[in-house]
Amino acid sequence: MKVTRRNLLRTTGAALIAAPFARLIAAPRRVRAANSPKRIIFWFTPNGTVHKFWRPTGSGAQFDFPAGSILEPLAARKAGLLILDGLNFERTRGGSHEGGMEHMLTGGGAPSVDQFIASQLNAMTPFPSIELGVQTSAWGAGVQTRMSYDDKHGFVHPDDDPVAVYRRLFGGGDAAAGDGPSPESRANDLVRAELKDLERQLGSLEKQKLDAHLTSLTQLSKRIGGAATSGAACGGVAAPKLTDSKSNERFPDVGALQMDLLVAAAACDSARVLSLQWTHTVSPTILSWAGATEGHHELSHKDDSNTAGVASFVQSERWFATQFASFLDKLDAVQEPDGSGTLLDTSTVIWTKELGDGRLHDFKSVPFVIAGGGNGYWKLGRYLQLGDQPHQKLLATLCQSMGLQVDGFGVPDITGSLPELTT
Amino acid sequence: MSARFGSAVAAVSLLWLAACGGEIGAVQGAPGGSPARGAAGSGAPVAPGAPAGTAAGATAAGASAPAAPVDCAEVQVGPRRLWRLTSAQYDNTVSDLFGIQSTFAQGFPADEVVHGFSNNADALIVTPLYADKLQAAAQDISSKADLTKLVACASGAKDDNCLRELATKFGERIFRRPLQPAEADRYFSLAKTAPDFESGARLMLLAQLQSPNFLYRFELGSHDAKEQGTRFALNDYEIASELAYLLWQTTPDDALLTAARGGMLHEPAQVRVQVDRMLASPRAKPVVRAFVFEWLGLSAVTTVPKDTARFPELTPEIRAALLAEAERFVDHVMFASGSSLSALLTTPATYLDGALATFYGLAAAADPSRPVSLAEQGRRGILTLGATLLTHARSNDSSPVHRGKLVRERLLCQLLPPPPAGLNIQPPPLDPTKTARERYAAHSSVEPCQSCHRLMDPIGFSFEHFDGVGRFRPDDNGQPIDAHGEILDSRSTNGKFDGVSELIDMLDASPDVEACYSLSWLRFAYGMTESTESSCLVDRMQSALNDSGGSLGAIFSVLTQADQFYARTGDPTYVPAPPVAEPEPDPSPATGSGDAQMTAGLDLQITQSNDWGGGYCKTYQLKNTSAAPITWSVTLLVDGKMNNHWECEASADTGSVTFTGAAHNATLMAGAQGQFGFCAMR
Repeated sequence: MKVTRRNLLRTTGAALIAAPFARLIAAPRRVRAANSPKRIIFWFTPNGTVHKFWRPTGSGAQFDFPAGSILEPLAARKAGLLILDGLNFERTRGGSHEGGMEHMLTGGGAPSVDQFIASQLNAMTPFPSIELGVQTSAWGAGVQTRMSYDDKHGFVHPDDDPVAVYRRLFGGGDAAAGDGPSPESRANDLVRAELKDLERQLGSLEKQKLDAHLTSLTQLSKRIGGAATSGAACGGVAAPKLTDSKSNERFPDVGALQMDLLVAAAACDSARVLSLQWTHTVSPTILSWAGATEGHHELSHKDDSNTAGVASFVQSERWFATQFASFLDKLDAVQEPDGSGTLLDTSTVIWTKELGDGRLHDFKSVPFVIAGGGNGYWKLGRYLQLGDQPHQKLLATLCQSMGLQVDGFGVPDITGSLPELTT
Repeated sequence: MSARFGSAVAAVSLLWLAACGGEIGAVQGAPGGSPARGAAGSGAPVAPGAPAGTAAGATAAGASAPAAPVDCAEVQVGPRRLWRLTSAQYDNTVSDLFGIQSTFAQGFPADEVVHGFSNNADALIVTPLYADKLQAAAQDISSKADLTKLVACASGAKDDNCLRELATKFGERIFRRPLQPAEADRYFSLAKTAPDFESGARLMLLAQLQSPNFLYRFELGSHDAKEQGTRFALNDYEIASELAYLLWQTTPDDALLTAARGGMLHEPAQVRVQVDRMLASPRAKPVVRAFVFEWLGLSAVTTVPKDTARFPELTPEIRAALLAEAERFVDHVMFASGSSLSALLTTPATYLDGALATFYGLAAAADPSRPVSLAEQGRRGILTLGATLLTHARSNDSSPVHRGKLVRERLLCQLLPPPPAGLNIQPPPLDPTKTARERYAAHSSVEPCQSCHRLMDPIGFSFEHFDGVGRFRPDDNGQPIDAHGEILDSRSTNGKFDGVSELIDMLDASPDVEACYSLSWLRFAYGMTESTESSCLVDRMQSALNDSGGSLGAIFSVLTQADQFYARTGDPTYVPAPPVAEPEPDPSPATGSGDAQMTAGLDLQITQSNDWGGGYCKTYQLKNTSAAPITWSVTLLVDGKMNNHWECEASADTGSVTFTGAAHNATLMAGAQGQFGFCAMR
């Protein structure tokens, strides 16, 4: 008996690995443009939007954020943003929240764009990519709560605990003094040898699981014994102290710490692909600090006739926009060691969502915001109405921005990119 | 095979909590009404080419996907597999092995949830983040472990023998099986790369705690060469692990390991003895709680956000009390009293403390160990406990949708599709002038909504006497509550009822619920998802479970007496390649055994060799091939400076070094074996 691909499909995160349409990009090659950004940071918040409170007025370089609108907290950064309207999710495998969450970074294939970029960059950074989360895991791991997929493990899990993130990124210090490999390295060697023996013993049986495990340990082994990076050296971030990190009230505190850690990771070049996932689709988080008395998902379903409800949703979204602005400020406050500018100058930051209109569960005009200098790669300071284009083109454009020559991303029958973002 | 199995089961937990608003297309600028894309009339969009049986394919009645017929005479048991410990199992296991209270796994990446259960074998994978967290936990555990709790010798002679004991004796506990000599050597050699006993022992633990032998439950079995077919019989140790994790969610205890060692754990009768013993222990309670909590989705009771202004009484302490109440309730009905599904659904008493009694609005401050009747509030069974009602509700209100969906999906095992795209979906706003039934009226009057909501809301209305945090209310904002309800389009549990108590009577008498309960136990106990291939197993197991009467003892009996507990299916024709010769080809022949000078009649083999460039360790196996005792000596050219050696004396620490035996192995009898080893830095 064997578990067929078809049975696995939609059963486990690993299923996406085996998805028959897991089409990767034809012959990707890395050709870094002089103005390619150094890193890319994905930023997710859930439950779609209400377009009339999200859309700027005007178009192109002449646009404004109306008073009270969702993006207004970003007004000070207007010249450094690309507001993307009119990108649709096409060829989603499923509908509603789940279909959107799964499709957002994958475009219907595997791996997701962040993991694809990380694997192709193959940067000599301690981590291929770093995923941080803010209360993403109360419902366990599943299609609703995960946005990244790699081609070995399925779901890529964000780390929701700032204390653990600090230890993993900056704890260092266990590199052995003196001669020889550290205990961690020797233990890792032995365990990998065991895994290889096991693979040989089992042949094709459980090979995917063992390969996934071995890949994880190999990644880890490359960091062991590397120079320890201290938080102090990375923009001065200190070891966080936080209790009760899973309670609703701690949500803003967890978010603030994770943003600081992400900035520190960028400052120390811990990875070139990073992400911050704020909760997850269908999120029950009550943004009480933004005046909400209902869960975010419930608020995202307020009908236009329910003006108070919609207003509360908009307030919640404005709070997320405020966090986004503060994150950009933090990046902008740290200089690259080589004097090439601030971390913001050398980064692309993209704010993504999994639905268009949250009330409708649709995939029309899913809102995207690109920020960051991107080393001058993007032509910023514009509000672009892209007119019903598939968002796979955006994913391809993101790959291209990082120097990867691709002709599309996601499902095979949608190709092309969005040159209008850069010219 | 019934239509509810096979690939028609959508595995994604569709926690869409939607409800239709007053009218469709009321959202400005919305592309009104383009519901289904791709899936003809079934509601949710499906990508062309997506497999049948995705969310859209699974209707409440359980759409059947055409599946190739399976010969159930051929397919008997599940595949050979490795089953990674869940977070809960990891913590229980570490707690038992090290005598600590482990919470390390609470920081591991969350286990993937499949059909509500977080122990699906296909889904439990070691991702990069998991490997990192596992190492961090192993560092903490190994550096603080009380070695004397692991092996008694650690309080006495801290010598090589004691390190070997750690590798073999503790190794057997942590790997849940005895180690092969070469495996034990590998760990011993690793420990010997450390400068002293203590650091060597901790280094060994660091590796053991990351080993696949610890992390995965092996369900591989062995194939009898004389047999035809694909059956691999599980060995006694593998069955010991099955029992330990099924009944206690932790590593095998001494009794199980002893039974396995004695070969007393592969016959159903032998297993029955252990099941009876383990089920009689309080240690079986957590696993039953875990099953009920995951099955009914109750685990979020302490965290699911609620409107604190609307429900100020719902303090963290009350949440904790609601959790404790549910645990006590499950313990009592499943162990102390009826022990059946019926008891779980219908027992009209609960076990609460004074604070919770006040929260519930009950007069008597109660002793949590004594049953309190909840009949005056119309409560009966697990579905009417605060934990259930609070978890399945909106943040500021009750929810006929959530509660109806709970019954439909978890008790009837009928998954519902998500709402079609393009519908304006707004749960009705709070309105003190209307009852919930009035506010949700659009669901039964508007076509795209009512086709699905008729399967949920009419069930959920019967729970309207309980608010969003599970408190009883005689009326809804002064409006009378109409708790009539109806189950529609179920397989065999259709009809009207008045109030939650009558609903529970219907569910209690329902063969659909019984079948769903059995199926849920199967998923949980065997960590599998139904597939075309496993449908035979599921069908057979389900009828056995149904016939068993459903008591806890009967369920565990069926689960552990079935062939699935004793065997796996695999490919008997695969022959592993011969082991890669250890050591790796040695770049420094002067230190290889080939150039060794040694006593005549001695055979010398390198059994372990680690080399990290700056240094290396080697372990040598000695054998007296002569007919007489040999007091041995071996001379090797040692590259670099030796910093450690074991089971031998050494004449120098670099260059040409002559090794002779330690007291216990200096003289080898005819045919006897011994070993020694050393580490050196270059």
